[in-house]
Amino acid sequence: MAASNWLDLGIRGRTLWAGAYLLAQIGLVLTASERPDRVFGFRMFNESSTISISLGRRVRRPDGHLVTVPTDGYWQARDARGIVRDFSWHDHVTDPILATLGRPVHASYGVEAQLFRLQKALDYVASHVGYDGETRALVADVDVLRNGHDRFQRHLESSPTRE
Amino acid sequence: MMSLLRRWQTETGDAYVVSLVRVILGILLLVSAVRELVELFQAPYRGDVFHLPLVPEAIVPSRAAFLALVIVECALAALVIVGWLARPALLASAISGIYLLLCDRLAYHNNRYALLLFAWLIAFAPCDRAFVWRGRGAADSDRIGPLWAQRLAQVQLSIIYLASGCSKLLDPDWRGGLVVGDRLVRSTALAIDRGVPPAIMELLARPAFASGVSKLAIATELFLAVALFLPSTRSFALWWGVMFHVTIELTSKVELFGWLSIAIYALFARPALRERAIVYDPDDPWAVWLARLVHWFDWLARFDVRPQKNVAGGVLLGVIERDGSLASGLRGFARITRATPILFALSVPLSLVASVRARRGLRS
Repeated sequence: MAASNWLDLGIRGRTLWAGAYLLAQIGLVLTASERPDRVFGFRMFNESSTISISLGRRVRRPDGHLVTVPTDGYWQARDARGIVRDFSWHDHVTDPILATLGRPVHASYGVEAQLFRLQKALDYVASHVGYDGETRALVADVDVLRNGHDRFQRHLESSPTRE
Repeated sequence: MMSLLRRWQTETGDAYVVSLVRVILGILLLVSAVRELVELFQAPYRGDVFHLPLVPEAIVPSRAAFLALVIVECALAALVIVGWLARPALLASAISGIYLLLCDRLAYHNNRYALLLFAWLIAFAPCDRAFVWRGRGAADSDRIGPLWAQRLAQVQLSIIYLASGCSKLLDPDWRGGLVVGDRLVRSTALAIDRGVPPAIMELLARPAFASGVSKLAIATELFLAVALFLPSTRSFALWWGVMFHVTIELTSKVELFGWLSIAIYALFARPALRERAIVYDPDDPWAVWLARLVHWFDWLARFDVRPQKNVAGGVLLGVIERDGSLASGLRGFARITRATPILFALSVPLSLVASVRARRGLRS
């Protein structure tokens, strides 16, 4: 059992290895604020905040104006051939926070993290509803309560779907 | 500083405790891999729905590849537990786990990342020299190995405490108690439903209480980051840390982090085994039974348990410390709890009571 192992490093190897490891760890911790979700930063319990996501679709009215139609995550729309199809936010987004619509949910890892993820989710879903010939973009109005005292709203909009 | 570095580079010691920590890491890795498997069969594969990779999308695994990787992770964790090819298996587990974390930052959790870092570090420690299933027990001298990776794992724990403590200290909402206060207010209804008296929850939800708890939590993390390394404060820091993590485990969902931290605490035990002794009267069935009990729960092999006729002071069972001093009764029990993981939570209260009683005895 005490036989040497290829993971047994010599003095020089272990010193270089440990130095590089510590530099990487300290670097990741010190730069955590630059990442919206603070990954690799060990920011434990950083906030006690909630978000409530109201989802909507940007559709074009017959008069050509774009309006926002609220949705509970499920909607129907015609495809390019005029056939009515069903669409669901939940078919694409299964993350327990981002999939919760219309009621407050704890914003794990902080509000900034969840808004960042939600923006990416909107873009993702907008790019994956190719058969939806009516929805021009997905929007989210987010009611934020940060640490129990700071309430504000944030409006997010996906990049346009294929028109 | 140079002598400290030199000592870190060349220090050797018994690999018994780090091998035990390896087994615990293996169990935690297995739990983590099984959870991934269960999630895979309960919900759509995350690569097929919205996910946020940190690596190019092209190298995010398909569902089938992910399933294969998680099954391999289970096998690697089993190897780590039984001690066969344990070190390469630990390293492979860490690499595979970090790769999967990089494939979806939605699945990132500090505790999972910490587990993988510790697996990575302990792979470089001689953690395969004890607790090997069907392995012949290594001679004491064969278990001696370099301690540098074990020390690095200790530093990693300290980095986690510092990162967490400093970020809270620099956040006015955290320092001022707003984060803790809001958590307490939001958990009031749930706690009352579970039978906590409303008056207690009202007290806990007061801003002054939340402010005090916040400062205590910050001070605890910063204290642990340093005090675990100082011989004079280590024992109390370990006890305080255990209390801290058990409290968090009971009040929050942190998956495995509390148990992981407590497992890593074992690395702060002195590598040398059986520096203390339990001596007992072999003719007294009660003393024999107690000695056997201590032996069973002596997972860190702190005690040399041996029968001895005519123990000094006529005691049936005594604890001989490293300095040769003998203790029995409550003081002896306090010493046992200090070195026995399952009783460790009792160590500080018992030591306090024993020391108060000893002072009173001296006065009278």
